[in-house]
Amino acid sequence: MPSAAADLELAAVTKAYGDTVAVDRVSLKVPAGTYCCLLGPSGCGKSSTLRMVAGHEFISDGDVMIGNTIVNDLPPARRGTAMMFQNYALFPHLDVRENVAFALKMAGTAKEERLKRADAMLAMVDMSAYASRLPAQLSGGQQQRVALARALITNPTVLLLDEPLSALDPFLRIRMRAELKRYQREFGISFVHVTHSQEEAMALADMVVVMNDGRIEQVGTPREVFNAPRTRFVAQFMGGHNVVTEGASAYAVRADKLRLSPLGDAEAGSSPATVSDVEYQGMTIHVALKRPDGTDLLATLPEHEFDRAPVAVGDTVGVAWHPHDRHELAA
Amino acid sequence: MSSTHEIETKAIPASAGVPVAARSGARVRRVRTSWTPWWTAYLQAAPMALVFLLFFILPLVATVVVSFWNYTEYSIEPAFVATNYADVFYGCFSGGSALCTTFATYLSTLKFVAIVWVATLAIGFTVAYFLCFHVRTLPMQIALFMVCTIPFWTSNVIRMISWIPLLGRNGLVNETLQGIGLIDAPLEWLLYSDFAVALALVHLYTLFMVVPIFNSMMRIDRALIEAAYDAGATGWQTLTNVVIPLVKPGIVIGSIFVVTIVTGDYLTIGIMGGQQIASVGKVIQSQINFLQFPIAAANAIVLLAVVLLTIWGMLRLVDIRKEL
Repeated sequence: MPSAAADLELAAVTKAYGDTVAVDRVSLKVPAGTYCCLLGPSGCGKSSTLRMVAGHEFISDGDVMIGNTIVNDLPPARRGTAMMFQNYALFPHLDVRENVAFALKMAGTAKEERLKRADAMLAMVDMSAYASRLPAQLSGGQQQRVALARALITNPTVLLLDEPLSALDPFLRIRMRAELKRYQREFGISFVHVTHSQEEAMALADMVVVMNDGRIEQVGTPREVFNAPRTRFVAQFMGGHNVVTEGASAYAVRADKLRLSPLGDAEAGSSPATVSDVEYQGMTIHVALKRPDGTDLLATLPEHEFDRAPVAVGDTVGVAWHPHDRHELAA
Repeated sequence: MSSTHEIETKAIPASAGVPVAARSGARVRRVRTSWTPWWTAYLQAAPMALVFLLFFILPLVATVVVSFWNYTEYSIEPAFVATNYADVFYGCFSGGSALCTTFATYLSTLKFVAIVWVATLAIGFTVAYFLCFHVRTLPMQIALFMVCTIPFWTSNVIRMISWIPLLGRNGLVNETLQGIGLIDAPLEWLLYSDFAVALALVHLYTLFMVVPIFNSMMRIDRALIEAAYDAGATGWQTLTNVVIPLVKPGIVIGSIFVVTIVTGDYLTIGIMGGQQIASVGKVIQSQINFLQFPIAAANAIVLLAVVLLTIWGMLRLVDIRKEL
């Protein structure tokens, strides 16, 4: 179903509740057809940002632009956005077909026409067989598909998803994640997806926006954000990084870049550390280390490498990394 | 609770260590699912069941029985005659143009039921909507809810009587209207009239509508309202397409309260109608005053049937079980 894809742009968008600022002058450009994930811990302002784009929250300051229109004062239906809610918010008294056709009914589309379009949309998300069921009779994954169909029936230019996978169990979450990505490709419109899971963001996004404390910390592809975290917060939030201080600067070093060697014939440049924990993870082994100055390090070793020189809790080993594996962080 | 007395006849697992021969034949045994004996649930339900039996079922049975008894000016005799019911419906099916007394009385009562139902529904829905969607904090909701119940802190006779200084010929309303020159003579229809009866009934029973509707409304997920707005629904469309369908069970429960209470009411209609307006309850009451128990019982049974039919009709409209 073709919809005119459009760019989404936020210019110094701010949300203030009284004296507390939830979103602080956020500027962002999401090109048409992008899968964009707003990533951050709870309370970082990602949901407020999404809701301001959606039109469910007034914008305290700044502008939201979709295509060439400033949409600040438009109701959701006239912005060309559609929202998929956290628990899907399907109407419990309407069957699946009527849920999907709801927006068309509100717009005054004739019954026959709107049910036909709803059926076509249900066919796209593989839910035709469930058209006359009530939401309560569907599984979580099926509800998500219905919610998706309901949101897409108005041919939005941007689909906004508020933690869409958080209501699902881990297995289903991974499956529905793949489906979301597939639908985004098929429809060719932008998805803006709010999540607190860096794993989800990395798997889905073309563009990751890491937020903290109402501000954007970093924008980039998942690889850029993971391999070159700009700040200490990003390095720690993305996980798998050690933040070390050398001289006056802080650096991020990926946990899988750390090398351990026996203290007796430690390689050049290594420093001593005591093993405080060893966790078997299957393909890798996590070795937690404590340095004499009290800082913690995490080394992730492939199983075979660990087996070459096994360490146990209490051992003192030399730990080293290559200078080009470290990445300097902004203050 | 059902699991405690679920008696399943399962074969004992083979690993129980009992020789196979010992378990052969028709020997089956109860599989325990709980340490509580199966009859505990009945014991727990017994006090309420007993109260119901003593104070509801037995009197009802007695009423049914008495409604078939015979009576004269000075005696009541056990019998099994249908004359009381014939008397209740005397002249109703003769095909005459005038309504029989019973039908006229019911019509008058039903008129009040209709007026009061519409008014309490409109007011009750609005109040519940305000409490639920416009009052944002829970403490404020509770406080305002308490305010709604304040009239119930006094007896309903006092609440009715307190209308009199307000609506009477020289009451506050008439004095004020005359004072500002809107009317020359006092309005006679304010008190001891259909208007006064309807007003008092609405005043007395609106809360019975507010509570169940409010309860239903509080269960509506706020995200649904947002989802409707997101889909382009106007406030009115959200109300008719989302809110009203979802509070239907509350509306039905409230309607059952109001309709049954008003159908059987005789006190309010008596006091506020100046003892001039007929009602089914009033008929029964005066028959009891004349010690004509059998015909009073027959009237009561007919009233009960009418009320049950009404409830049955309302329950057909909505699946109330969702709410319980």
